[in-house]
Amino acid sequence: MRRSSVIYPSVGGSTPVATKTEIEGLSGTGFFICPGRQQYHPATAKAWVSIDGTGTIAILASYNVSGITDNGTGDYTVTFDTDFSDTNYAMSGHRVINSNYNAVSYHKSGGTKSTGSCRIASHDTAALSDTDMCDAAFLGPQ
Amino acid sequence: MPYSYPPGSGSGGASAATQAEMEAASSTTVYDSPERHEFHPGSTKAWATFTGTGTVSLNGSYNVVSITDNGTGNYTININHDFSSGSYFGAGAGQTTGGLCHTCYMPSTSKNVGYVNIRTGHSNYVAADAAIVDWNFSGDQ
Repeated sequence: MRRSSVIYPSVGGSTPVATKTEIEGLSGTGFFICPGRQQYHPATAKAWVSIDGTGTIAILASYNVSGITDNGTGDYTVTFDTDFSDTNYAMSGHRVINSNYNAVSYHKSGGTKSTGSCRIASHDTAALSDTDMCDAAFLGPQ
Repeated sequence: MPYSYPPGSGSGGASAATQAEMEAASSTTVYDSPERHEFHPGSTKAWATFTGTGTVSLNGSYNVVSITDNGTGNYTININHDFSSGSYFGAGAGQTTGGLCHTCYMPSTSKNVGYVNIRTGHSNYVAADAAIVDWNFSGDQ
């Protein structure tokens, strides 16, 4: 990747802004991470969303999520704004408790993970169900 | 110029934040760098996505060296750069199988500085392998 043309001066030389490649590669301390690229660090969540899954579903809050789709009871597709570079990303989630067993997981369908979206399932005891808060976060390469 | 310089640049000279400064998350006179960004308490310290059925395989990860298959729905995630203690955050998700719902959870003694034991299972915590198992961890390293 071409380095930013902007060099941030400091005494004794200059401290350049880290490129996407340098951030992803955890390359040293000689570059600084600027806000416009900090999301490329592998330790940073690439997207997250809090969904109200009851009635007409709605995004309560999000980062790098362009939309959600209601596929049926407890079955949602989260669409990313900036895609992942591959499908080897990780998701974790939780939901408001309705009973003594609640979880957010990947939907049972194949192809639930794609670079631009992820199909998630919100469920209680043994069935998909809607709740008024279902959260998911995603980490991986972008 | 529509850019701001890092604090200290241009006069005193900014330096890269040390691990301690990143962990303190309070300084405005040092800069964040690729190598030490992970030490910020807001950063995820490790994550993994792996296939939990058949021969277990690690598909994507950060700061994870390997996955150990301990039996049905029972895995150990081995961490590269250890946590400083066994008190850290972990959350995961699996893939539902057939008509059954799936969950990821940890037994009570699962967290160690260099590895964590996690489980996957169907409703009512019946152990079962999951095709996709994801976890992420945050805490002090």
